Amino acid sequence: MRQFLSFLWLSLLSISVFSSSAAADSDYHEQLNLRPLPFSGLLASFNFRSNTTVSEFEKGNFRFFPRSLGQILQHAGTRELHLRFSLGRWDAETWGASPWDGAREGGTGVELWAWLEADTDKEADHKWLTLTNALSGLFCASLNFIDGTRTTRPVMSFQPEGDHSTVTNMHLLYGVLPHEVVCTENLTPFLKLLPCKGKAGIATLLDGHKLFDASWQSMAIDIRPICPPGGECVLQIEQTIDMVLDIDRSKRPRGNPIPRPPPGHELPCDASKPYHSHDTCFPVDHAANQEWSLSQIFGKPMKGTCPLTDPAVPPVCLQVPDSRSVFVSGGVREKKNPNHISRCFDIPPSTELEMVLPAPDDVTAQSTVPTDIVTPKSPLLYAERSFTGHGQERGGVQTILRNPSPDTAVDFIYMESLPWFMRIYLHTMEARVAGHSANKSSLIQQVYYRPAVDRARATQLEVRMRVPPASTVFLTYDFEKSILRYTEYPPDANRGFDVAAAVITVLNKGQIQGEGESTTKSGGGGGDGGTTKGGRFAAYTLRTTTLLCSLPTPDFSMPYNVIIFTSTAIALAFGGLFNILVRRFVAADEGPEGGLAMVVGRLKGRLLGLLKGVKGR
Amino acid sequence: MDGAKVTPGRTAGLYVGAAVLRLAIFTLLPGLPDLLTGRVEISTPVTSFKRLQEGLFLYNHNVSPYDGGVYHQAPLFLPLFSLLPSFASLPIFTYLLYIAVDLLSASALWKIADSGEAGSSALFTSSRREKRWSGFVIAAVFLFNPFTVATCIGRSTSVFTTCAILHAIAKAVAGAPLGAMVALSFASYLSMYPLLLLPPLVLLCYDRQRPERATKSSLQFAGICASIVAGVVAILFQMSYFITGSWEFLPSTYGVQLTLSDLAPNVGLWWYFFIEMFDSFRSFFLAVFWLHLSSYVGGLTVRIRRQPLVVMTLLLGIFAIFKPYPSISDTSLFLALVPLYRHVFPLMRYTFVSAAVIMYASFLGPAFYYLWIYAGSGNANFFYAITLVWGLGKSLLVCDLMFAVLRDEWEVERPEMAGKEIRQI
Amino acid sequence: MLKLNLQRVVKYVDRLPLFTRLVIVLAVALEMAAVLPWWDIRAWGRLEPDLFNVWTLYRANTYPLIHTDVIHLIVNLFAVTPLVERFEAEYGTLTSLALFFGPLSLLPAVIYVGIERFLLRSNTSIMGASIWGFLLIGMEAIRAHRTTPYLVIRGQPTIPMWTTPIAVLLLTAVLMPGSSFLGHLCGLAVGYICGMGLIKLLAPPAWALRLVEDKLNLRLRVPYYVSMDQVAHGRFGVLPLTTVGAVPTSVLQLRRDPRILKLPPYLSLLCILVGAAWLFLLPLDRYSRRTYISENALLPGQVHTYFGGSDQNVFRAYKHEVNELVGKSNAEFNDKLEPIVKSLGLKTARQNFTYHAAGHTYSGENLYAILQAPRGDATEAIVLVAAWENVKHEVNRNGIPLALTLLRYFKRWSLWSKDIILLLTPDSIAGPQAWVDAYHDAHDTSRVASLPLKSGLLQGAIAIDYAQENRFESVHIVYDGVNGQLPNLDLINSIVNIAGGQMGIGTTLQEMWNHDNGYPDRLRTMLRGMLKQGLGLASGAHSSFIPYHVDAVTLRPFGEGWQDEMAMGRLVEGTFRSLNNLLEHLHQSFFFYLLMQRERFVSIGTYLPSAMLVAANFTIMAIALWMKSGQPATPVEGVTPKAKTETPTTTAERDLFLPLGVVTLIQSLSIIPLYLFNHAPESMLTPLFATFAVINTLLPPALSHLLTHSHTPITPQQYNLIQSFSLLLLGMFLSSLATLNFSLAMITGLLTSPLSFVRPAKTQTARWAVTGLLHAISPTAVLVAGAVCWGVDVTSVLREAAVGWHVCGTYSAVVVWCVWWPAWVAGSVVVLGGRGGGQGNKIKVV
Repeated sequence: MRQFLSFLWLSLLSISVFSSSAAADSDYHEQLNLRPLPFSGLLASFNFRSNTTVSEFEKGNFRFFPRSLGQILQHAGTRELHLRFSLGRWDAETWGASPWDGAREGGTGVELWAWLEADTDKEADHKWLTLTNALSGLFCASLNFIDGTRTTRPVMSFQPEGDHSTVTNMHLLYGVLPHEVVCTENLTPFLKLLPCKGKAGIATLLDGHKLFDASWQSMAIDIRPICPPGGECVLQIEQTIDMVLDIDRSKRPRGNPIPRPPPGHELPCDASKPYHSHDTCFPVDHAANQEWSLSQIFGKPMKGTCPLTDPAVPPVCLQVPDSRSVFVSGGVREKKNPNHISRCFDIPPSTELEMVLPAPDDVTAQSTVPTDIVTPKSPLLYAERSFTGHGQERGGVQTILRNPSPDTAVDFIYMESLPWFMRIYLHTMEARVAGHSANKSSLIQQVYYRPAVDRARATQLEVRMRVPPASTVFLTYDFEKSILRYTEYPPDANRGFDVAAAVITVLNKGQIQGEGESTTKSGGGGGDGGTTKGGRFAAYTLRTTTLLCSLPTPDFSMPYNVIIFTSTAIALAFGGLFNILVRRFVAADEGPEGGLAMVVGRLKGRLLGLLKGVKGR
Repeated sequence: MDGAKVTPGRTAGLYVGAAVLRLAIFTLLPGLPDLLTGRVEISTPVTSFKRLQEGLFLYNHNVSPYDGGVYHQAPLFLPLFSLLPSFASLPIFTYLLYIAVDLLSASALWKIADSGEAGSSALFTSSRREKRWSGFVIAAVFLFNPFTVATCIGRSTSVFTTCAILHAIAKAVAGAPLGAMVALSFASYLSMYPLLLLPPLVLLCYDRQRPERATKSSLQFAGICASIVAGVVAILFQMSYFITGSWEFLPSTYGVQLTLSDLAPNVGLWWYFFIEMFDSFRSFFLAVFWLHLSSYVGGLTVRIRRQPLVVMTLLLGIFAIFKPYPSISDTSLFLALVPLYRHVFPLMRYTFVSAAVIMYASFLGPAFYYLWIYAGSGNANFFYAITLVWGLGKSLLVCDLMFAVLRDEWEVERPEMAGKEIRQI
Repeated sequence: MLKLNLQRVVKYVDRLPLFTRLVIVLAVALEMAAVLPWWDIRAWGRLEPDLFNVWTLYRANTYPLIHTDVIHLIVNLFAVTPLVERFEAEYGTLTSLALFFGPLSLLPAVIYVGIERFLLRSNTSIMGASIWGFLLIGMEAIRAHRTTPYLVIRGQPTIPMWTTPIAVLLLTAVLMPGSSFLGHLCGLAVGYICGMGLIKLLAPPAWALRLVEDKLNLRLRVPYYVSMDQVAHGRFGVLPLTTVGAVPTSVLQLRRDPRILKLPPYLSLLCILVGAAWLFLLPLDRYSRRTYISENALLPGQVHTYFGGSDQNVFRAYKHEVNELVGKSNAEFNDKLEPIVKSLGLKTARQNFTYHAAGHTYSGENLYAILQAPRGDATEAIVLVAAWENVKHEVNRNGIPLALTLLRYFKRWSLWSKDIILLLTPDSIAGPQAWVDAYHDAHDTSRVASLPLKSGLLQGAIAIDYAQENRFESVHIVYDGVNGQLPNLDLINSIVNIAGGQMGIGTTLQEMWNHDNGYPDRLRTMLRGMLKQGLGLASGAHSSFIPYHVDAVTLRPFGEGWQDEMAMGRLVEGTFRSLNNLLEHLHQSFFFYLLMQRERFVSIGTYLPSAMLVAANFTIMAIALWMKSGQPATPVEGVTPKAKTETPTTTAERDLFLPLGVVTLIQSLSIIPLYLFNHAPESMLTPLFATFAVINTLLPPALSHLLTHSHTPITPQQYNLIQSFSLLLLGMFLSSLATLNFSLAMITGLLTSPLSFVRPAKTQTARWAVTGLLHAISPTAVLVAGAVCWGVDVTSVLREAAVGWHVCGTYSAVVVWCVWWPAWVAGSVVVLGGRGGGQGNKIKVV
């Protein structure tokens, strides 16, 4: 299976190479890849890419490059920018490796990292602030909340994908908003950046309802300068949308999305059971891979192709074994790729594409790994992160890293950027191999740690690790939850605070020896395998899920009471002490009438006077 | 028991007993030390042993421990503890260090008690001074006080401050002003607030200085003492600078105590107040609280001029209540000094009440903290209320002790009033 | 300041004459009686014009003694007592009796009723002693008018004295709306008339009264009796002024005051009685409240539930699968169920656990599956628990298929914001406990395996316990957690709301199968709840979740009805939809409450005082004993001012070391039974218990013998101190426990309450009698009694305790052995400690 996959990548690779060579006539192409997944999932990954030469860009003469974004980049001195909007989680056990080797994936929420051109850190911060504010306006996301406490400067995890041989003073800044909920208002500006604005081509399939009903979806924008050997440097913007649709959920009509139980006779039953009868039914769904059609899944057929796109690139590709038959609407030419597991379709402009994938004819396919879809390749590494301990005082973080490959060890960089109110104790960090206890030194090779400063800076932790073949490693560390000022809590204080996903960058074997100096430029490699896969920095990238950290909360209705009570307590102590200090002792029976009696007497006098006054008038 | 004859055997027995008790807890209940280290009543952000380990770890890995929000303790701890074998592999040495510190404090306390300074100082001699406990009893009370034991087991670094303060007093009583001042500057270097003890300590030294080389003018004496302290502290800062390579330890160590940037709950009155405080008034109230804390020094020193040791005792009691980050170790220090005044116990009026309140609070505190943090069924007000009660109980004790001492002084003036009903006007 | 008031009050109350006392007592008693649910005493006793006829003449006497509420009572008593006292002091007790229960109540009543009926034609009923107040004020005013006819202001007379009461009347009418102006007016009128001399006519003839007095010799027999003949002395004849006695100037004097020293026993007795009585008031409408939902996000019953239809076919199929597995081993049914769960598209995992308790081994394997929220990420989760066996060891025949069907149904929805975890455990106690411990990494890895698969924070858990075969009528909600912790009230409310409002399914609590919302049923529900809470054992698969701040309940269908499994499923679905709405963790509503009906509860503010009162009585006694121990060995009786002044030196020096040592010793001894009973194998438990009981009876005599015959014989003072310290500890433990587990604190407090009244016995017989009585309330005796009355043998009780200790971490045993038992031993030692004439007090045992 593995070599099949490499074939697949090679095929895509050839396409991209072809396109880049054909970039002369058309600097824009778009492509939709459909891949059925086990348990009636469907991975649809849209990819739009457009180039414009740097010189043109400098002149402010953007062609396919979105002007709004371009001006922001120029204003903020941004050389390379990566922006991610993600929702849900990629289920690696079932769906295998994530698309583009995870290069287009982001943690839940919004994630942004960029290389800014600046002389000093201050200047970089200032530009970063400009960038985030501008982007938040552009994408209707609260990116402007990426302030100092949410910004880190990773040193190991990220490498520029573009060519920056000319620039020397680049600063990498990384910010993440785990709590941000991605929704339609982010999709619309995203589509506006496209040359065809979602009016034609594969972009017509993108519909908010379907996109945000997907089990997992990630929108990515990557902007990087690329200098092909010989040719002049181009600034490349690549917009990607990957989503995993649940087929039977998507097949429900828009009008009536409620999953009412189907009528008894429509229920697929396992008749082999002895007790099977008209009112007793052992269900067999989820194992079979039912039929679906493009318009069912996306709610509408695809309207032609974008006229600006590079005709040499087939707009739609489907990855199913050649054994399966696919019906497409007339005029559409299907061409199978040599690797027998994928086929692409050339669509004449202004013809609607409708594609139907009938259910496989062999009904015996009931195993969890059916043969009628491409078996997903297993990722290089599985990662799962969770909290340990309970209570709102302290806790721990435990990450379970599993290396599936039987023979090769995996080197990777594990990066966390934690909020300042999680005070982590680095001396408690340990990595152990499940089962036998291996010496830690071989697991943790290098640690970069920048502790948090209260209310000013986030914790940044980058760990370079190696997981031996076919083994599971537990990475754990303790932290303490600090209690905040009552004005620093969000309105839903008792929900807890979201902790951003950890970024795990599996290093490319070709890079490991050259890893010493971390500023190795890697020839422009798109996530799609890139032109020089061997030279690419990250072989695979994955994100863990976000976490919810519940802090101790004060009583928000108490400020006045607390001030009053505490002051009273202090006043009591102070008064009592100085009372004893300043007064002098006399025997009970000597000295003037003092203490209470005196007070009472005075009060009496007052009252009488008052009474008289009252009666007077 | 009063004034019992103390043989060396009993002395050794006491120390060995205390050491064995602590060692037994360390070794037989391996879970307990870490549990206690985690308790907010014992470990505050400025004394927590876990934070110390973190700082140590960062220090040994060439990360500045002060460039972060975790470590707020004095820099000199870092070389000290990195000289010890690492805690992870050989914890026994750390345990021994802490036990030794406790025993040192006890011996200092013993000296103070045997000097009889509490009963009869240079300018004042109590009529009741015969009734006193021997140093043995007082050291035993200190060593077996549950608060002291818990602090030692919890390995809070405040035990070093306690030891330094007690030694400062012991030196002063023994008539060695230099030693006293050096010890006090160590205490102030470790945790700042002991600096407020300087005036009474100077007076104590002045009263107890040896006749052969006594400085006559008190002002001159005070000047010398103050300059000694300033010098020693300056030297310590210089050493810390050489250790950490920058001055950023100053804001991170003392700035935290001044600004209370870390609001971790503790048995004091500050944390909840400043959680709930409006941001615009925060700095103002910080100033007020510090002013309040220091306001006691002058008054007490002047009024009880004749017994500087009493002033220090009372001040320690007040600090244990109103410090920014108090813990039960401060209380244990205060409770260690109180038995010195056995002779005025009959004059105290609310001993039972304050003792009961303190006991109630020390039982209800953990319960309410559990309800707030773990069970989630109570909220922060539960624990806050208990800290209030705790503070009030201790302030009652302080007031009562002061009343008794003043009354004792007064009865020396008017012996015929002994046992009579009195009033204050 | 306190001392001042206290002493005055004490003096004053002491001097109240008989009839005044009678009035006060009657009024208070009637007010207390007013809480009786079955007898509305106010309706019975008040003066209601329309109901006023010959047969209801009694109202003419009762209405002044009855009050609308406590406030009214207090106000009136404060107003009236001094007046009545003066009146009685002047006219004598008998006269007052005759007058107040005769004309002085009747006349105003008649006038009032007349006016109401015939002039106003309305029917406003009145009650309260204020009418007497105005009557007496009126008399006083007339009398004063005779002596000084005018208030003299600035020389010339202006206001006639007799009008002053009217001012008071108006003031009252203004200040206290709701007070009957007319009623007061009538009282005042009668007062004027009497003042003018009518009273002579009204009063019974003096010779008759004098006869009665002499014949019965009341003057000597009856305390506080004010004789007729004081009339001779005129008013205030023999009455000492209230300002008699110098104002004391120190608390120390108050301490010396013997009255204050006599007070505490009564005070603490009062505390106990009030605390106990308080409980029985709680079920009343006035003290309990209707439940309500305070977390707006829950929106219970706002969603349609679609579970049903062809899901029932699936359910039947799964039920067949499960029925095949009945009787198979744990591993077998996990092997069978895991593929089924996998085929739903869920991630599954297993967990092994082994517990050792009371010589038994409780081991098994949990199977759990995670349904990942389609669009969410693993930040929060809800748990659906289905145990293979419930606590009564019935196989959960319907629950497990239902859970599976529900998960399959949930999988079709895309609206889940939280993961849903299905947990299938072999039993209802150990399995869930092991799983939750492991989920929060609080587990001992040697006995409980870690979880290979995890999700986010647990926001709630529902356990289905559906063992009964046929259709059910309503659902029983089990909510007690380990150690008496309770889930958030909002969870229970929303389930009640969904079941009742949406599905039409009834809900019950605490096995009250049919609950008419009356007082007895409410009380029974509450007491059952308290008992369960006090025992602190796990009551279902949900119990072990609650200590981790995960709100959980068990739903158990019962009864014969027409609700089928699908209805149960819809109930769970509705609850899950509500929990799914939650944005924040449940924190709004109550965590401390007593439920007495599915829609009535008492919150902590209302019920905690009872436990605190019971705990406080120990503290009071401790302080009292401390003071007593401070007194000189021979307390001066009839304290004279001279004796008062020589204070602090007479505070006897207390020798604290021995008492402290004794108490510490007893406390440390308590570790032994705790360890033994928690670590002995089951076979050993009964003999162990027997031997312990024997030792328990022998221990106090042995200790006291040791104390009395040691080289320094122990003094009564030290006994006082021993008791003082042990009571102080007890009070402290109980008051802190009351915040953690109210019921346990309450029960222990009531069982130990006699300990605060025991004194060193004077005579041999008394000593043994009291010891016997004490033994009746010793932990061992109570344990046996409880076991007998619930018809279980002691061994099983002890085994349950041990299991609870080792598996769930129940700390009830600690309370019994380390709080109750030491206090009891100390008490017995004190009782046995007295020597002949050791000191003056008698033994009091309540």
